[in-house]
Amino acid sequence: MADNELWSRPGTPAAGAPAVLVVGAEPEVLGTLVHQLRREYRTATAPDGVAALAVLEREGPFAAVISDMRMPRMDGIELLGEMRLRWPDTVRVLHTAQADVHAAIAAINDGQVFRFVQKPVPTAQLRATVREAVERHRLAMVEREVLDKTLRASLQAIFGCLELASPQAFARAGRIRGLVAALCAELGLGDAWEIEVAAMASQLGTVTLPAGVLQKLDRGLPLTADEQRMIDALPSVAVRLLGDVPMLDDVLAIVRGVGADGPPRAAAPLVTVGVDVLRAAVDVETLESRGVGTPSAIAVLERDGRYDARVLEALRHVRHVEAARETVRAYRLAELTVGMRIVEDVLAVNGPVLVGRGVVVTAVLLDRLANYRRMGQLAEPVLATVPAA
Amino acid sequence: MSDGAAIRARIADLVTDDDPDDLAFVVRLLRSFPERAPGLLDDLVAAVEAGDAAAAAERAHALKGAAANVGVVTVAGLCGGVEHRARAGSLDGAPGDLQRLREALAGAEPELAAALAGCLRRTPGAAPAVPFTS
Repeated sequence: MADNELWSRPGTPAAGAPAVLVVGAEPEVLGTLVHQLRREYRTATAPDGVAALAVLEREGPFAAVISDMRMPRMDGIELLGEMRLRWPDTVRVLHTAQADVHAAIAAINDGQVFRFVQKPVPTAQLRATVREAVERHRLAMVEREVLDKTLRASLQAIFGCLELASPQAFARAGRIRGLVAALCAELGLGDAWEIEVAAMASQLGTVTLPAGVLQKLDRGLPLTADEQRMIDALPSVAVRLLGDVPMLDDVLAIVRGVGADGPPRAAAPLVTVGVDVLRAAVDVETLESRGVGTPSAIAVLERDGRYDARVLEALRHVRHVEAARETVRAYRLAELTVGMRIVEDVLAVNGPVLVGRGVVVTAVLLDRLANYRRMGQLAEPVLATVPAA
Repeated sequence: MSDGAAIRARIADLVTDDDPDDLAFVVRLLRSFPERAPGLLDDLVAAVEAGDAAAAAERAHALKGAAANVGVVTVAGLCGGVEHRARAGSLDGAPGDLQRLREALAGAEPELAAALAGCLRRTPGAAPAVPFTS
């Protein structure tokens, strides 16, 4: 570009104005879009899809993105598809030449894109489109807040019941959820709450299992054909329990996909990656419960060939990082503090599991354990890890 | 639409009520395009001479976008044709297209210079129009 200063000149948007990312290879075109939007929005630019992903990662969140279609390295359709997965609330607008209109319409019909604008886009049309996109983003944020406050609280209540009904099953669900959360963070899917909820939901059905079968599942012991059928039916229990809760379609599709050994055909990208992540987490958890070491468990999954390579790579990294951070120690009950993680089932003196391994210590849990201790039912010491600083 | 009319329409769209920021921006845009366009055309010529249809399509696309952005519709239209055929793998007729592109670019220069002079007249205290370097 002959004159970089022109294109990076800041506008004068109000403080707290929505942020818009503008992506395109042509500096003049990019600069013109920024100029057209400069009064109402904070703008950032990127010359291609790969650079745009880096900006989203570093400078986000953005209310909207306007991307050119044809760019080097990663084109607009690919970028917006990736964004749909990783930043689903950033509203996507495609900026196309007339010759590419058919591809833009196809992208809208596929749900990748909210709108497209044709080059050179008149100022009024551009501003109206971005205003609509930003409003859509605002509504998505409101919806997300409602989701956070009500849906998550409701789900927590359901999972709280699981904890009361079966500490062992709850702990297993928590371990799977923890691994799923770490994998999602590693894969850049930190906003994909659906996958984490699916991890918990996939284990809800364990309340229907007889104690002996749950014990076998938790320990990774061999199951009879009848017992395996019970395990295979677990996703359908979750689907029955949660089927009428609004906004859980993708969550249930992930749970079903894990049960059916694969996502449905033409599933949304989130469902496909969710099934890959959750299936790998459940299967590693099962192998580790059987006493298989983490490297061997991952090797088993690799040999199987059905697991996504990116998920396996993330799994190796996550488990390695976790292992490096953890120091396991034996604690008396009085020494346990909030935030520690129980690494071995806490048993009553007469055998039943009081707290499953993997559960994070909370104030409520400490009270519960203190009660068991007072009644002389708790076997000490307890093996736990201190969270990494 | 002729280049002159399209350039004026684009400027009218980008400049609101003689806003000094808008005028300054358009002035720089009208100076930047003729400075960059010959280089973009050279890149396209090099790709055509090398028989590289994929590169020719990309470069025609780049020049098309820059030209359309300032309203130089003849250049944008010719580039669109080259790009379309090059994406289908064909560079047939490209030498003739390149010749027409050179002519169209040369034909747009006075229109761009006139538009620039017009913007400078509307800009209080602006320096007089600087002729394009070719």
